Amino acid sequence: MSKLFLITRPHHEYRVAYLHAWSKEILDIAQEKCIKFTDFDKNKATKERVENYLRKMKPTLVIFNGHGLENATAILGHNDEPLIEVGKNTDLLKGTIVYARACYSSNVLGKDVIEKGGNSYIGYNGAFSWLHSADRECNPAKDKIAEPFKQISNEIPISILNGHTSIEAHERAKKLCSKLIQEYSSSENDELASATRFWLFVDMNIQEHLGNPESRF
Amino acid sequence: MLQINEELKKLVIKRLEVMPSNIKVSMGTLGTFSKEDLIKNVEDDTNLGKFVVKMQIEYLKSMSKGL
Repeated sequence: MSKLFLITRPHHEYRVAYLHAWSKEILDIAQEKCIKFTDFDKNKATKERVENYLRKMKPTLVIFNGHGLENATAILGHNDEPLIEVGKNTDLLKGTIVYARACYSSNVLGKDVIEKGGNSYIGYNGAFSWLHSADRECNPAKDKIAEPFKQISNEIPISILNGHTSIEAHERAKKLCSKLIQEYSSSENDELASATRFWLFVDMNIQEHLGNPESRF
Repeated sequence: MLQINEELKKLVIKRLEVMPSNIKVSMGTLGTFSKEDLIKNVEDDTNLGKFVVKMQIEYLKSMSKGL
């Protein structure tokens, strides 16, 4: 299997636009390390493209950004089209490490991916949440309030690209989250820091690893 | 299953009230919520409100153990 990854990052509304902006750091690191990837950006994040790519290229790692259905059965792409759905196309992720920056997906979809032969799956068993500035929704890349949430979620794919196993990536993100919670305990802006600590804690608690802990990119 | 009594809800609402008004919480598919939206969800015992209460209790327990 070639050392190659796929990333989907729709951009059709401001919440997914945050994930889209945060992913640039992952792509910059991949470029620095000369790692090959395919970026299904904005309206390219469609089911047809994803399915065709997975069938043909069989990437080692897939990073999904987007909404996840509350019933945990699908990860969505451009205009909230389901890209991967339980019982429909999870078999296309056989042998793959998956990181899903999407709500709920590990509960049902992640388990199905592993049952169908997926190598490992890191996702969230609740609503991945982040704080953001009420007046920065048009420019997520410049939203400093959202920065710690970008850090904890980017830590997973970046650790994998840096050669860590999937369980190490999962644990490194949780450890970073714990460290940030401690750092925000000594912040001067008490009200913002208090809210940041709590929502970091939420994300730390809903992050889940499934499958082979030793899987490596 | 966590029993959410009125005292617990009051405690969580007190904690949510200190959230700055110029920030919001995005919870993916569920939507984006202001401080007032979160408080309303806790008061109305919605699934989101129950989730926030449950996580606040977990958070306070973890803090008391030094995380």
